[in-house]
Amino acid sequence: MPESTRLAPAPTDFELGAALAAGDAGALGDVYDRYGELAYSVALRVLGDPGRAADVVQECFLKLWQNAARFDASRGSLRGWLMSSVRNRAIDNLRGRAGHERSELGLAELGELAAAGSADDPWLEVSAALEREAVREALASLPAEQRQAVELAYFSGYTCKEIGEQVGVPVSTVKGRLRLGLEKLHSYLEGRGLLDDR
Amino acid sequence: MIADHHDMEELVAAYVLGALGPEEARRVRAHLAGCSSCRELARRLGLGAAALALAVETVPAPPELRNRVLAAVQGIPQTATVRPVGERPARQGAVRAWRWRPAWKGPAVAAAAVIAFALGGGLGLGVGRAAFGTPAAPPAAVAQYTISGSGAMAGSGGRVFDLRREQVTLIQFSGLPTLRTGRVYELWLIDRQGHPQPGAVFAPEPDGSKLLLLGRNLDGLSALAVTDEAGPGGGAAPTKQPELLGKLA
Repeated sequence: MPESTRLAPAPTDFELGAALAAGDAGALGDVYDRYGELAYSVALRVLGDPGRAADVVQECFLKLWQNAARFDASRGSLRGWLMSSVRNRAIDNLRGRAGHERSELGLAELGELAAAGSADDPWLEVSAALEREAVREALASLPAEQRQAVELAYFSGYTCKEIGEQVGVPVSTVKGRLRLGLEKLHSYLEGRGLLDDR
Repeated sequence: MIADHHDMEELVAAYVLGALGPEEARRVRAHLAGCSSCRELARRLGLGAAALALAVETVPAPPELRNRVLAAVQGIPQTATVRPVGERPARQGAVRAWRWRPAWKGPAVAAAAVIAFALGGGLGLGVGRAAFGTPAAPPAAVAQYTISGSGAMAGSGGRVFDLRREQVTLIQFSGLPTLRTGRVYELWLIDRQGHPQPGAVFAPEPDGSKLLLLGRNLDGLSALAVTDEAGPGGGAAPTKQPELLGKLA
């Protein structure tokens, strides 16, 4: 029987992280090829400006390179770290914050979706597309006021006070909407087996 | 104390999203350090928050950005501090679960098409676990889907013809890599809860094609997938993530 067609399996995120930590600049290219478009899309969604979005992506990949040896794969995924970094830097950029005035827990430390990007899942592109669709549907399933509050906080970096002023409700109401919104997102994604709920 | 804990609970979501002012954030951080239930809440809510990045519509990055990024790290030293890298999760012999559970509401992946085709001679029929029916005369209408390959099967694909009335399904594969000795391709029928059921096992033709005829239509299914498994009969559950996958409307 003729030899089967064999293609080299794509490195896992865990392997890419290890390669980055070992100073393999080629691995950074692999990470960019895998997550660069998503990173750019997140930055663009926050900033609305292609030039500023590209600058943020470049800064975050540089930060990833510089700090690769400190990345702890047991506390979060490479993708989670990168997207958290991009979102935070974009928000800082949007809000005119010079430094990293981050007041929340690093999102990447809090877990990650189980499919694309997880250390032991070799099936990336197909599951990533399905995963993104599931997340969009999860967000669309939220009541409008919860979705609005979550999006204003996540994509625009507004505080509860600012959100309350924008939509004309008390701060306590905003806090409740954020909690209910994130609870529902978690339940929706967990119900579809998409969360690596370690 | 209890009132204070409840107050803190209400702030955790806002804290996770960075929507608190500095003083409130500091109070929540201090509370989390000593409250395991709120830390667990923060972890749960953080999973939902972390997913939000995936909700954006993807936009192609400027082509030159890749070179910019790689050029930017040239000669830049990495931080010397090395922390222990987490243990790689142990692989399990079989897939723990098919962790993707696509929601099948929403727009169809492929439009239904009206086709007419003749089933001529020379069909290489797979050994299907479903009973075969005899296809009726060429149907007036069928639902058509596409199966796409990725990874090692990036060059493979399939066209699916769902003959609902006749209760048969025709799948025409192309570009299938040759299998190693002792292996077979297994078709999985994935229900709406994401559970894969064995559908058929088959080996490709020398040119990488294969025509499968299933004795059922695709009602109640959300996707079709193919993996290569141990022959001759495949298995009751997939042992790997699929690299050939087709979503059904």
